[in-house]
Amino acid sequence: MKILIVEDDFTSRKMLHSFLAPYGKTDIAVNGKEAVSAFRAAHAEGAPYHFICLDLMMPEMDGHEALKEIRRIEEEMKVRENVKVVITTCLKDGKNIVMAFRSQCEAYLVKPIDRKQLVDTMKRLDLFRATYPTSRKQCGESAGAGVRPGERR
Amino acid sequence: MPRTIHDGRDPTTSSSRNPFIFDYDGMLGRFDGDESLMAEIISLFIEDFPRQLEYLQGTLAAENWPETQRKAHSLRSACANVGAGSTGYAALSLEEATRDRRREDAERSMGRLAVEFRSFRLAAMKTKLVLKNQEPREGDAT
Repeated sequence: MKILIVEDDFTSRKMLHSFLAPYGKTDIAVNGKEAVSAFRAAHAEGAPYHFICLDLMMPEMDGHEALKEIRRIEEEMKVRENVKVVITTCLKDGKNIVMAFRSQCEAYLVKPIDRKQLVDTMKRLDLFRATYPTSRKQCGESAGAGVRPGERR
Repeated sequence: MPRTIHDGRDPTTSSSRNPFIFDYDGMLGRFDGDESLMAEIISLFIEDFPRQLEYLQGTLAAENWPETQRKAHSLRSACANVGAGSTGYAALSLEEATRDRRREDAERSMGRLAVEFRSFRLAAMKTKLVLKNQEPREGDAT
């Protein structure tokens, strides 16, 4: 499975990366603009993401804009299967939740993120199906432009 | 105007037993019992926090309200993930004060943020978690 974590906070990025790394190749973007670039690049490489964890309040381009852009690109490219997007945010007001689902997110998780809840959500979204490669090697090691694979510090 | 703390505890009390300062059990549950990962993430948070605080002080001094609000929000989300309730509460106060451009309240919240973080660090260090940042720092309460 190919996963993209979009999160501007360092600690939260590291935590999500630790939670998700066992399930596939995990890339990082620190704002919506990078996320859209990574999404495009992955499609151009013929290895699109299966799952995106998307924060909402971020610099340069927020999560709402990024999600709209991702869905627009998918429509334009007539992709067979849309990427599964789960919002991971502190914002729990109705306005943000409704806006996210209108832009076609699959699920909305409010921080603090619970590992079991995240994995259960992935199961519910059928992300562990046999047709998805699960190891980093199977997913390929190259990352798209603007992506920070593994992010070390 | 100061808000009422939701669990009625005094967030300024430095105690590792106060879950509002550090919710060890809550975080352990969210990490599915993985204490070593928990320690790693808390260490990263403790290491990163002073940089974030310094950045926030700079953006507030420059009256860059949107950036201060965004960064305070980002810090709040980190606090939520590591169970730093009172620190997260101070970050929320800062986020709200900067959203409304209340300079004095924002400065007060900034001071509170630093104090609450020290309490969190102390509480985290008192747990059985093996943290990388265990050295007490100047200004840590005892």
